[in-house]
Amino acid sequence: MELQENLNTFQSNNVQICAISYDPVEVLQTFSEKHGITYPLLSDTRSDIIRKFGILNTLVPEDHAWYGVPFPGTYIVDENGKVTDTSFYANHGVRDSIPRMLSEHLHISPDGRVVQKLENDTLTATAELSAGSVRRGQIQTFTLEIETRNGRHLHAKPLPEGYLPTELSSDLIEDVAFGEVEYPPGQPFRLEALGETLHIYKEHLTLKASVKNLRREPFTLVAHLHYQACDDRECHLPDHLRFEIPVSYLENA
Amino acid sequence: MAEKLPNGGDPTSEDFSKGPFLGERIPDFSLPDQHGGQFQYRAADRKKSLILFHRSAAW
Repeated sequence: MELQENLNTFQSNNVQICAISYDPVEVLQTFSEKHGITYPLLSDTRSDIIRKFGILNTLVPEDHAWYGVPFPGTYIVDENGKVTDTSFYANHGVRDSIPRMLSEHLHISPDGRVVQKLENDTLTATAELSAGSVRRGQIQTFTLEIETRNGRHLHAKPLPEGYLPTELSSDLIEDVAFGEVEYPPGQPFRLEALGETLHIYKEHLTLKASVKNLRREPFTLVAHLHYQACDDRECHLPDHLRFEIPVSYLENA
Repeated sequence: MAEKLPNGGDPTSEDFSKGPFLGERIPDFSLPDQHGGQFQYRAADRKKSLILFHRSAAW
């Protein structure tokens, strides 16, 4: 049971879970004991809530024993009660993977870290904070893993005039300190035509910064990656990616 | 499953009701759980939630 295995991650990120079916409580009790399920399995025997959501499976005839089942699916709901993502498949054998939903919709990786992945023609960038919830005084690590694509590279420092370096920064948040970013050295790259040698990042680049929290409330870490991508022939326009990592707050015990 | 769902049509068709759309609110609800308790979903509690709908635990 994938959900049960990830229960701690949900709980530590303040996400409540429930599963609804039209089964009587006794059936759910037997099922949860057999499979060791501790999160709420809810009994909607008259399919009232299933109807309220508007997902009663209308393809099942009313006189059939299975009448009352929903179209199976999943909602992810934010703290305002609004749907931020759904996963419904016609094929009853298909279910979204919990780790995928965690990371894509709630920005939580299965072991409790918070991740966000962005992709474009130049690169794939995965931003990650070492914990999804922080206490006051804790220091976390923000990591950005970058893979360049399509034979493109990014610029490292030092750089001659006229080139834009790769830079990671964050929006200011009161009482949250985004530390100095560690930039690894680039590889030398000779531009024969111009007689210049640049330093570049190609294929893989990891950028790290510390995040020190002195707040007593949740916040969203907004980080920016500014870069200019080039390949062996040309340089592209400077570009920018914006990462948003929600961080929940835990009272110090 | 002993028999196929009597859905008659194309089992891979995505043309069916999926309930509230992105950005819409879900209804508040209250249902009994497997432990004999009562689970309440209330938007006013301001909790992020993962809500799953299953066919049945019995078959």
